Amino acid sequence: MDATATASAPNYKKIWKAWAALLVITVAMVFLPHNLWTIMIGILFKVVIIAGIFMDLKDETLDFVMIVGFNVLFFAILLYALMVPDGLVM
Amino acid sequence: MSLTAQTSFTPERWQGGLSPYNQTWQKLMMWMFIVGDALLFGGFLAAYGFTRHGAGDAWPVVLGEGGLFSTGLLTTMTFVLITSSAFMACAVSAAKANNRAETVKWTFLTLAGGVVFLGMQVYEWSHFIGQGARPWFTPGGADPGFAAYFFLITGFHGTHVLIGLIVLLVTALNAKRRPELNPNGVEVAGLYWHFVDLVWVFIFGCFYLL
Repeated sequence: MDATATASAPNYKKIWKAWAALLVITVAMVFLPHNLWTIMIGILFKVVIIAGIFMDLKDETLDFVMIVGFNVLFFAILLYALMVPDGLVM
Repeated sequence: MSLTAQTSFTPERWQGGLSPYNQTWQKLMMWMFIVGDALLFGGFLAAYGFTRHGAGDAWPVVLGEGGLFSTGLLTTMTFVLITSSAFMACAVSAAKANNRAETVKWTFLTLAGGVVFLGMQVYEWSHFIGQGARPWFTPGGADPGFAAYFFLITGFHGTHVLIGLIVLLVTALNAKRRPELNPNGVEVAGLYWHFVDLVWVFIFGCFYLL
């Protein structure tokens, strides 16, 4: 960046909205009655908020999001799918 | 291949110019690292789930009444890390706006959040070890696999936090001292820090709450 470029006021509003949403979800996950599915849904919402807003993934190109997201999703599913049959017979 | 041949390669869907996916190479490599590291943690958590399923009733109560750990402490740790992540997002936003003072301020606040989190993790470990826990022994006659996974997973995450603190310190000092602010460097450091937060979301949900 050019050293002579002028500083401008950054916009923090969306960051603190995301922070508040993360806190609400965390408190709900801990203090409300929960089971496997409510925890998984809570985790999913938090991941979307952190990756989308904090990591700015929502502003990236679709190709890039697919490369990152598909990789993790594909191998995670493969990992669990290969282990579940053995896990269920234990 | 000649230079002319390289520059004339313009497929329809390629929109990244000379950099892949319109990213700097540093940011792209950080994302690739994050994908690989996420799978490593995914492997740990999958193995943990497998062991826990096999242990049945021998698994200890982790949080809540009669649990091994304090709900308040774990919730506070999560709060601190989420807040630290928000501070880092502010630092990145400030760096992109070329606001040096704000970038330095938010990066140091992020660093402070990370130090507090790590301190709480040290307290949690020392408390658990004080109860007699070892990587091969879980207090209360519970399945020894619990303590083994606890030290492995939280230890690995804690190591990531420690590395993140060093990265943040270097980033903050660079932002403060160098003649030119480097928004790309702040953003790459931020990606790593958010990833540490992201991993904690899974650990907190899968390891402590379930």
